[in-house]
Amino acid sequence: MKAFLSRLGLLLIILSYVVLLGALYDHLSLFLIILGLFCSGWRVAHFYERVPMLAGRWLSLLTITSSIITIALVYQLGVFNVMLHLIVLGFSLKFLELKSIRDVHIFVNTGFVLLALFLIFNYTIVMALLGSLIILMLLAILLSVHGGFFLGNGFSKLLVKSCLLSLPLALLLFVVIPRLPSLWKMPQQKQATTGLSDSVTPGDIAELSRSSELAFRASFANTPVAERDRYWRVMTLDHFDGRSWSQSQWHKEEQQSAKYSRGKNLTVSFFTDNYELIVEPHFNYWIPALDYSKAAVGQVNLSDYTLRSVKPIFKREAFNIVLYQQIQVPSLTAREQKQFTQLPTQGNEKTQEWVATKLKQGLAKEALMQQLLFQFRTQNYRYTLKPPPLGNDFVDDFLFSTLAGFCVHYASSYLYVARLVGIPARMVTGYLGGEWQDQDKFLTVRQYDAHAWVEIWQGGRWQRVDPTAYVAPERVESGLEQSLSNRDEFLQGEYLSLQKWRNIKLLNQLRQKIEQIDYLWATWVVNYDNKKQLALMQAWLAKFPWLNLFSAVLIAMLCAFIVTLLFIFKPWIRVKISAEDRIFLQLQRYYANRGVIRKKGQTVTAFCQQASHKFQLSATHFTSFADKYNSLKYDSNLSANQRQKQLKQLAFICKQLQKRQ
Amino acid sequence: MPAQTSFTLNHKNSFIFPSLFGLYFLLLCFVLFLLGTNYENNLILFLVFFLCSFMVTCLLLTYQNIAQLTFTATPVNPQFAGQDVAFCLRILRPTDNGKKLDINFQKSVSTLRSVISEQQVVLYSFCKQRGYFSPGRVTVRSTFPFGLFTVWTHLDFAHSVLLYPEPINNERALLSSSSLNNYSGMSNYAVGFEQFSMLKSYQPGESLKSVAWKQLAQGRGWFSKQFEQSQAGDVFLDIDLYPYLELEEKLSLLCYQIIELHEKHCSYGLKLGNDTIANGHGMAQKEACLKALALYGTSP
Repeated sequence: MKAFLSRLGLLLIILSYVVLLGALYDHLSLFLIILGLFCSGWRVAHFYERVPMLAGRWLSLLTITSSIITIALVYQLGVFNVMLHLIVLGFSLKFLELKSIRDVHIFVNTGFVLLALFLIFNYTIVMALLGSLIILMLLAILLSVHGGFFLGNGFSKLLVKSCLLSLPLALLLFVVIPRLPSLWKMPQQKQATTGLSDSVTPGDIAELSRSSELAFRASFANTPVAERDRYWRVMTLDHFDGRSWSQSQWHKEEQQSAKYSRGKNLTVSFFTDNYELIVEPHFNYWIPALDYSKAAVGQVNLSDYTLRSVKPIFKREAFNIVLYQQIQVPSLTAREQKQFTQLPTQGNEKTQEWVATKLKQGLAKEALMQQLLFQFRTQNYRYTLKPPPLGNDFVDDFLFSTLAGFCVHYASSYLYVARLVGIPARMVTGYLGGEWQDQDKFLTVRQYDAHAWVEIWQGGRWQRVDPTAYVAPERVESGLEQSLSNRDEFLQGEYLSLQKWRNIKLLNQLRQKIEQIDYLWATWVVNYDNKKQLALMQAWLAKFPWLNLFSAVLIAMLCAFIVTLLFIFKPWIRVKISAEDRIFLQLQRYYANRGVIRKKGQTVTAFCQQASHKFQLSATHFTSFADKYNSLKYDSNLSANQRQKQLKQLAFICKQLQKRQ
Repeated sequence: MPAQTSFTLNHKNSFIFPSLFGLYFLLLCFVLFLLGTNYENNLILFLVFFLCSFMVTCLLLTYQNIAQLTFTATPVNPQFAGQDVAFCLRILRPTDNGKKLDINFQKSVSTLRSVISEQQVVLYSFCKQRGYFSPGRVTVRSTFPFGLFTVWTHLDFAHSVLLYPEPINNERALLSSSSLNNYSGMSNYAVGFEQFSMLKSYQPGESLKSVAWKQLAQGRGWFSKQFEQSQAGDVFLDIDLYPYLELEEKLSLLCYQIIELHEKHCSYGLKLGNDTIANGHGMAQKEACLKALALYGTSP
């Protein structure tokens, strides 16, 4: 083992290596993980002198083959992944050839880069804590290499101390340094989208409903929107192929062009409120929005009143949205009329027959739709997350045989009937409801709040109809859990989720506390931006009208620096004077006033002799004083008891000596 | 910095700069800053700010580690050329400063590493040339605690040491040369070391070579042998005895002889060209002779 690396150092290196690999586990190919395990195993074996260091030839062979394999494995995953994999590969191989302090430096620096890449994907408070653990470990490696072996107990103390001392300045920099806009476009991680997708088949949303994952959070400037109006529209689906609802071609095109921020300019009126959304990443463009939200910078409106982000949402992102009461609606064009009544010609004969019969009986279109909703409420329809399987003609099966289904079943059946009778209609998917956190005034919407409803064209405008509300009104009023006839269906399988156990009071409180912290984390750390920065600083500066921004920042930084300086050098700590010294200094001062001044470097004995000489005093007292002093000062064999006794005697002699004069 | 025998390190006499690793660390911070800015990721930015702030802390800690350390040069006794020359510094540390120091001569020529203990440092240098030798300035360097900064200083203690010539073993030459000595009247030719005159009780500190081992073995106690010539004071060394050798070699041979004669408690004199050291013995005589050898031929 080379002397530069102690056992502790190697242990720390292996530990931080394993933790980093574990943290990036989701994003790495299995090959790299296995290679990493091999490398760390080899290094440990080398430490215990079981195997030699890999010879240069073998190392270069390993480097070349593993690079080729890695690139072959990931090249189609995009630039970002190739970059990530190559860095990890270099990290693993560097680990195998730690030969000097320089290699340890490279290892640590790479570790920080990987940590930063890890933070791109992970921004929750727990992951940030894991990140700080990694920072601590990487710095500990440096300390073990440079701080040396003889720190002992001081090791962790020094490590923690230097980190804590760095925090104030770091926090200050975080608060005051302005955020620059992206300098260039960085390669993005290709990732499967989460949340709602752009087509819906019965059963799809039921899948989402099993997840308690956070979708987004909203806080309102004034009053939160009423529970029955919390319909967060994400997208509208207007094409039906007999099985699933999806976006029609022209709608897709509109969405495509929205990426280049050419949205529709809505004409809105009656401002009601504005709200802030913090959307969890779903790697897609949509933004959940209430009716009717107007796009601001970075967002666009589509013609179906949904909102799109200009960039895909690949990290937790905040949006400020203005809410209006009314919207000016142009009437449907012929093409739209056709599109919104489009149906496949085949299938669902029973339903077609039922509609035909009703119409023949002279029922008006609107009355027919009302009757269907009435049926949902009065007949034995059930709201369940686990509906029985349906055949090809699923509307028939659902309406006439199984009578059990989820929001998509109700919505698509209603929609199908509406289109059959010729009313333009479309499916809207999004989220309904959310949990109101009373303490912090924000609304948490989770994946299980996903919902589908219908809009029909009536009276020259789109009107929202939620067929689910007729079979399970609780779904609208109080959320999914309350509306399920069988409560066990709620979050089935998610036993570890705190959401599942919200009925237990203590756990529920704990969960709410965690959510609160996470919300603060999201608003003040993850989404802290120039706007918040400016607002914060202006709020502070308002208290000190004589300060301008620049000098305030300068002063704050100076203060942080001075505080760090003080804590390191601790000028307030004086050298402690021992008891015997204090007595001697007293005597010395006493005689200094009377003309016996102790010279620099003069011993106590010599000083006593000089004093006794000068004042013609008996030498015995002085000698015993000097002896006692010396034994107190230099005799390490004295017990604590003896010390006490001697000190008393010393003080006594000192007094005696002062009386003589 | 001017030479003195004692230095207390402070901001006036020490330099602190980022080490090479510190520069790489700054580069890393810059790269991470770009990454964080481009991904608009606050956590990465915080990491960057933390690392920068950590550097500031390191700067202070590195300085604190050496601040108020006092180094005092201790006087050095003459040593021999051609061997590692040891110099001592005493360290006075306030509280627990001075961890992980690297102390060496600025122009380190010795293969031996310096020895640093709690209270003192032993520095090694090397010189083949006899005479006064000064090893130059002392460099104190430290990268404690995280290696991001290097603090260093060059301290000039005006170290100087007298180096005697390197002794070269030539016991036989001594005998023969002494017998060839033609300074009549001044010396007795009887140089036989084995002709001892008397036994006297052994004093601790005397050379083990003079112990009367036979008597000790017989159980009669410790005695030391006194030799005839040690009273007589007879050996006279002259540099001109080796006419065919190089000057340095002559001095080396003489050096060895002086050491030997001293060990054997002989009395001896030395003639170097025009300078003559009268017969004598003991420590003072040895030092005078060796000093004369060391400085022979150098400028006065």
